[in-house]
Amino acid sequence: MKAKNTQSKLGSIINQYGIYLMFLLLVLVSTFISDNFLTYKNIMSVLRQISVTAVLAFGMTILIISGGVDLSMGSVVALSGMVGINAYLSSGSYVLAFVVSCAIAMVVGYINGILVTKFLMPNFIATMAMDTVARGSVYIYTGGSPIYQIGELGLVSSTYVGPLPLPVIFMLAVGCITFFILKFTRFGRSLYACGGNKEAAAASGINVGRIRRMAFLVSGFFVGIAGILQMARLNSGLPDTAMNYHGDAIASAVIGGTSFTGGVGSAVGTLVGAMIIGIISNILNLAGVQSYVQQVVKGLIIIVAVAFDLMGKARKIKKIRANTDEKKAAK
Amino acid sequence: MKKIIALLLVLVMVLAMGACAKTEAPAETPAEKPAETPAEKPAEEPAETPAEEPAADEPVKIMVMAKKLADPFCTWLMNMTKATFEEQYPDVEFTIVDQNGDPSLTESFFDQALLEGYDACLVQKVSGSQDTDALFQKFAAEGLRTVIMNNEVDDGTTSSVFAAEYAMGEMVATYACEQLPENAKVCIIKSTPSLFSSEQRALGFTDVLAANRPDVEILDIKNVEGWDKAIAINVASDWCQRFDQIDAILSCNDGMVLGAIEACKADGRDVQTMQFYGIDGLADGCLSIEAGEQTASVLQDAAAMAREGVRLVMEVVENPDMEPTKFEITTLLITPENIADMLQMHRDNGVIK
Repeated sequence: MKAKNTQSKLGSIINQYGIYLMFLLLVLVSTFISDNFLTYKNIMSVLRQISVTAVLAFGMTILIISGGVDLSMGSVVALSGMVGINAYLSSGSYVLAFVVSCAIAMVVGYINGILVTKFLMPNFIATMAMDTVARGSVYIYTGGSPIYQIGELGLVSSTYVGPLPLPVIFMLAVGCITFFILKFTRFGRSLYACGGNKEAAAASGINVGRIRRMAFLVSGFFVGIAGILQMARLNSGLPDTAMNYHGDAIASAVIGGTSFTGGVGSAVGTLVGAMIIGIISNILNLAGVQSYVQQVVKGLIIIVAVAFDLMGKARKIKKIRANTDEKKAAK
Repeated sequence: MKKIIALLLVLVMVLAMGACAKTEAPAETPAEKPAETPAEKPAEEPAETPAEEPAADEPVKIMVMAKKLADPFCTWLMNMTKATFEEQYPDVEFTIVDQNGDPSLTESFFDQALLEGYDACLVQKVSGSQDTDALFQKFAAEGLRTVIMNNEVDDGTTSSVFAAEYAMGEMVATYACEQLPENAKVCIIKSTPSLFSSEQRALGFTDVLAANRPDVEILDIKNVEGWDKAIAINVASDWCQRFDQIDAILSCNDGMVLGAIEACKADGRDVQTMQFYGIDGLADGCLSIEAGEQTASVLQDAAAMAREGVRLVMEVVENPDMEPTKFEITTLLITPENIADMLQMHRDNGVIK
């Protein structure tokens, strides 16, 4: 009986903190593999590399928790970023670049929300179609040509504030906003409720459609920020950039413990998920492993993370059923 | 309400059937095509014209297939192709279609070109390793001839205009051999594995370095999927953590080496003393050479390629039985010495201000 309890507790700890344990293990192993891994420069390099993906992943986390998903993120990064560059070039204002970029991404996000909640289109279909629309729009907008001279906008990527590069500060700020929304706001609680059980949420007075549209809006805001960060990092405007970035965003969220069936997830978990992906690429590069192996490893980790998630859920359901049966038998 | 919907549906069906009848007709009887443009030709005349030969003043139709319009070099090449047609053959009807990096689309576009009565196709292959010989021969047999831009083809029916990929790698590496310090340590960035242009250019780098500078150590060679600048930044960032000394980075195109420059800057390295070599001579590469960051590039002259491609395709239209020819365009090493001319060329083309 005691052994069973210990096993159950261990299972519960692994379920709850498995991803953090995995992260620590990865850091430990990486430190052994390369002397350069645990240095300030390398950590900053990894954080810079994941900054755009992590910002997108925070938006994706909010969406997945609410029961949605957005496959148009990468294309919207390109669209909003390109328009943002032009806003910057015509005004010289960094703020305007961000405002314009965020506005465009939020409009696209809201349209996604309308398609999903008003027209009842499946998330995958609506956002996949929007991905094509957004990518096509950016090609029409630019005529397929890059913007080679983006002026001082590149400073958004290269400037340091104290010890931290600006993109990392943006990433942490977006992470804090996500954490605050999910942990301390009514909207955040509604997101979990909508994703966990849509019918129950509606029955308890939550306007599910409105909450999910709001989720798309908040996510769009993050995508707009990512658009400028991406272009600044490239130091040019490339209309074909950020292809399939939604894949990395989903991977970060799911590895970080966000349940693809909705209702479960956290900002900290997503940050850790993004860092795990970044560290894997980084350590394999430091070890001189070819980049295609990284893709295989990344894919395998997603499989393991999702399998853990589903197994954990299955265990929970089994436990609830067993408890219910026991209570029935006692009666 | 139901009646109105039913009536509307019937109307839509009738219109659709009418439209189908109109679009299908030219495929079977190409001579009837001009009937759709009555302003240019009397309605009765096309019926007299033999089906095999286009009418005398029927505009020549060329389908131009772009590799991937979002690719900067492809965009440049297509802009130059468009400009060449407009300047030299204003009466020619040309349509640029995008294969979007997907070789499986090539055949579909050929089917479409045949169906819509195009006279010839000007194609930028998705990859040099894409086996298109049988495809081009099949469509040539059906009367649709092809000219290839940006790749060399040797199938006995297709003419091609190209810049030699290996030679471009050789050219920039030869210059690098003169510039690199003794016992230099270099890294090489390639694109997607098995991509002909990337593999050939990289082979040019390694062969020349091995033959002329045995003291040079190649620290690492990495593939970057789809020439992606963002991935190149990540790869070079990790190199910066892995290697204390990197004297030069050679890349199979300008975009990726510019990504490497951004990564080295972010790492706090002095990019003015490091050396960065690319290929293509794109505008951003030239601007970087002017700024003293990129060391050299090779001009793969899209304007010349487009000019010769258009000339060849018009020759094929004039004389469908002409023997296939190959035209190798001259490449040019771009260094700080001739950068002003290159920038002027890009300004003249409207690529930069």
